[in-house]
Amino acid sequence: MLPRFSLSQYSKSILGMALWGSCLFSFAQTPPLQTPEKIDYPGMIETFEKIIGVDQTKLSRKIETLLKEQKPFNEKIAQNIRMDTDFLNSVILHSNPGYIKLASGDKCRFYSTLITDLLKTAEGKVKNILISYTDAEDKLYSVVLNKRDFLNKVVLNECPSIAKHLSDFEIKNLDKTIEKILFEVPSSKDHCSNIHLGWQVNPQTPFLCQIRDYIEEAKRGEGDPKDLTQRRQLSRVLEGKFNIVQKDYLENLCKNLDEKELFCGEFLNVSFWNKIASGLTNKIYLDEICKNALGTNSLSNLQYKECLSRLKRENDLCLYNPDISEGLTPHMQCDYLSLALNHSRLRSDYADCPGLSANQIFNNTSRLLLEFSGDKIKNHIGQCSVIPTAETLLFNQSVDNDEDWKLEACYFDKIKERDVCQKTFFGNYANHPYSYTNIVAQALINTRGAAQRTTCSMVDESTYNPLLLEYKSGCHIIYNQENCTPTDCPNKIVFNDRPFDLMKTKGRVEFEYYPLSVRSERTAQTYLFEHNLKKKPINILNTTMVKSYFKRAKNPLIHGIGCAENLLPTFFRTQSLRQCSPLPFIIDGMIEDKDRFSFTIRTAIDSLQAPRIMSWSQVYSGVKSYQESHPLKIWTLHAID
Amino acid sequence: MLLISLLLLSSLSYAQTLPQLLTKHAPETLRYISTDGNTSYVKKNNGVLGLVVGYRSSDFLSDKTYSDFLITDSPDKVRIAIEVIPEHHRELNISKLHQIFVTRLGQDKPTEVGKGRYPQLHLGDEWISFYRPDVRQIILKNIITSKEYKIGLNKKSNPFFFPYYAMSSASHFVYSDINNKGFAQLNVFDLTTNKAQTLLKADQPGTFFEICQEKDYFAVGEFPYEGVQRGSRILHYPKRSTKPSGYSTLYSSRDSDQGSMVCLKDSLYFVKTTHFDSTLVSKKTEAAKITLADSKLEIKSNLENVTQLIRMDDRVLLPFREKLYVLEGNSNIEEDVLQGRPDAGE
Repeated sequence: MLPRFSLSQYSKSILGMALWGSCLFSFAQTPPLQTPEKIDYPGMIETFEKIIGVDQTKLSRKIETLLKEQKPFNEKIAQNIRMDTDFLNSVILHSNPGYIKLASGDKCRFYSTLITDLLKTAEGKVKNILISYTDAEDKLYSVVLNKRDFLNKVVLNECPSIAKHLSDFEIKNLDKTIEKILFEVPSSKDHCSNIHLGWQVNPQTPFLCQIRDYIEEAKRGEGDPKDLTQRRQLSRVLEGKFNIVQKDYLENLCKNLDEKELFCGEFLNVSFWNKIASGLTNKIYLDEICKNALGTNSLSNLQYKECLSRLKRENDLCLYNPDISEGLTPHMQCDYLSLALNHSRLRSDYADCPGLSANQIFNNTSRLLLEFSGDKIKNHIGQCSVIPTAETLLFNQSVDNDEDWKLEACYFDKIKERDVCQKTFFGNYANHPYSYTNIVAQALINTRGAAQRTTCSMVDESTYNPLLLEYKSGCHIIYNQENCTPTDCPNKIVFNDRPFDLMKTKGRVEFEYYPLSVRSERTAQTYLFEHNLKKKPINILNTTMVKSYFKRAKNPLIHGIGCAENLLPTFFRTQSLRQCSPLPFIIDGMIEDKDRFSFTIRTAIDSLQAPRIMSWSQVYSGVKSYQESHPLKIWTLHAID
Repeated sequence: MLLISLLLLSSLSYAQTLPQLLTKHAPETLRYISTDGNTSYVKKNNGVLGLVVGYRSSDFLSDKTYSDFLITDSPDKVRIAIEVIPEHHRELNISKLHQIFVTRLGQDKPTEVGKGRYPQLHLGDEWISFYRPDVRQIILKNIITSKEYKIGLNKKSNPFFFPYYAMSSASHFVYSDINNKGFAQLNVFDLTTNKAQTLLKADQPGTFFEICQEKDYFAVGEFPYEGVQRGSRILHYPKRSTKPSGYSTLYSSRDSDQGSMVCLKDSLYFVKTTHFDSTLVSKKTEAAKITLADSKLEIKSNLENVTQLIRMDDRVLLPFREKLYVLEGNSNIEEDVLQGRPDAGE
């Protein structure tokens, strides 16, 4: 029988050596295989076929003999249990090299891989396991055990932790187990290497690949035809436990356990648009592009498919979108955008309207905060730039640092005979007390005798129509969507169809991203990241530091501020000496080619769904130029540890 | 003008080292310096702008501590435009409005002309234009008479779009825009009729038009934005009539050049892409010079990541990180040379 998997025999030899090298296999009871006396024609394949033939005969004879002669195996007196050499030879010759790699770490990993049917011998799936052991008098024995006995008498005795995994992967517990497994998608080669290595040493991997193989075998109709119907039914149940993304992930993993390049290539070289089509990533990346391409406000599944197929042909489809709130356009062309998204890892499952933000500090800060916390995006009213503004405010409040939030909404209270002021932002976020809608409602309660439960809505002036019944009663804050940010929003208030013009706003928000003086150091956002969120900053000064950080860090993120004129010179021109528009950014990925690299980066005015690719040289120039204009001349490029 | 052949690029001569601008002032404080080094504007630490003429120094414009100042001059050398950037390091808003003042060059009596971005002086510095991103309007204002024109731009494109503009004659104002579909447009605004007409339209989306001008001509460059692979071209419009018309192609290339054009009397500088790595989507860029007479192209720098070029008085400057290189004009104005008495003998 020829091996089931086509593979490099060289790699098998290497992996086999790894198995031999492990402490499992020390007794050589039989002489090594002899080179056949006569070779019909020379060549590696021919020789290998003969080796397999010899192995098959030898193993089956040995099993036959042992079954007749062996003493019953008593696990209580057995010592130094080892796998039989010929059995092991057969495993090496007949198993998928990826699974041999999986088995080659230590004894327990070998046992897990064996009992999950991933390893094969000349007889195909392993039914009989040949082991050798010594008794109390140090006498050497060989014995054949069926799989059940091997599991109960050897595996669970020597590796009790396997019992937990067996239980976790029972059908009744499978949902919970899968839920806890992280199918992590890599964003760079180094990141992917770490993930691949992680799966190789993960004790759950054999059990996951067992399920994948079981489903595949049932689909292909392999194995015993008598129980095929039953196995197909079970495989359907198992298949239903995984979503399409997890299934694709397992397919890639189990096929490429010994091929890191192929495993990573599936993530890093395949078009990002294909990943969306296969459900591997969120459709949000397509939303604005496809709405623009198809000229629609909502997208059906069919429209997504149509758009995806156009994306592959029309490289310019990604450049523009109709919604100015989405930020800087044009984005990169579709092929570059796909490349950037493949290597990017920053959380991007929400939109934060950089095009309608009055201060890019909020966007950068909240992008980092939401990445760190993983919190759900809360309900909001008004522009989606309320999200970054309010998230930054919430964070600063939580660390007692909202003194510099000096934007206030005020109204004259006749009873108190003075102005009543309250810190605010325009919009509403999770009903936060600073929400402008709440403050206006409170002002109406205090000055107009409005009901205690009064709430206010925010209505874009293009949709507001005073003739409509819905606007005849209640409180409505009318604003211009294209000219309103959470910290600067001209508006008028209508309450019960009458204008309410007592509200005034004053002040501004004066947060610092990096400290501007020694005195203000403790209020800067970067200081708070370090001391309150325990995110240690590492100065990134050169390419060596960048490479070593990306190699080492599990979730690499670099943030900083640079001059927009250097970071994005075609968008922002310099016409004066020392012209520098400070622009915060986050680097979240690295594209490598030999020893050179570029970054995937989102400046704070870029849409979360449209990162850009930028060279180290550009980033360095941007940061270096900003350093010159900074009052403390500090370096503003830091990795987060 | 001749269309530059791509083959020409193979025979480009690369510059060795560029001289750095050396002045008496700390480089980070300098906002303007005349060619002779006699007049300079410097930013002081506490949000103050000072004027230095010869050995006389005066502080004349002050704002909050973290405010910054930018100065734009013009080839006519009559006035300068001063931008005051409020809360430069705390309010990081790329489209925030700056206060714009004008004063006569070498004088310290600023007059506020409005709020906006990218001020440009025109026609003997009697006109000023600037852009207001909040309302997407270019404001064109006569400094003497205060007559003002408001030119609206398309509101549906990039919210961070900043147009280029130039006053080609007393009756025509040329400006760039981007239409709803992302195609760059060059429009001419007629001051006599208050109407705009399209002068030029891009064939493909993802590019922008840039304008620079000299006494006898104005040039329009079409370059792609970052992340868009397109060719580049520079068109030459001679100033034959009040309304711009009839151009010749000065330069055309398949390279995605960066722009940042500076027009001089006999030549034109811009930032050219000299190498593009399609795997890493990164490029090397250098300052390039085209001689108008024969369209000869020369690479003038060897820095690999040139982003911007500036014209200041008669100099062409290349800001690179913390350094300031001089592409055209004298570079060392550090030394003070005392002039001898006219009647002093040898």
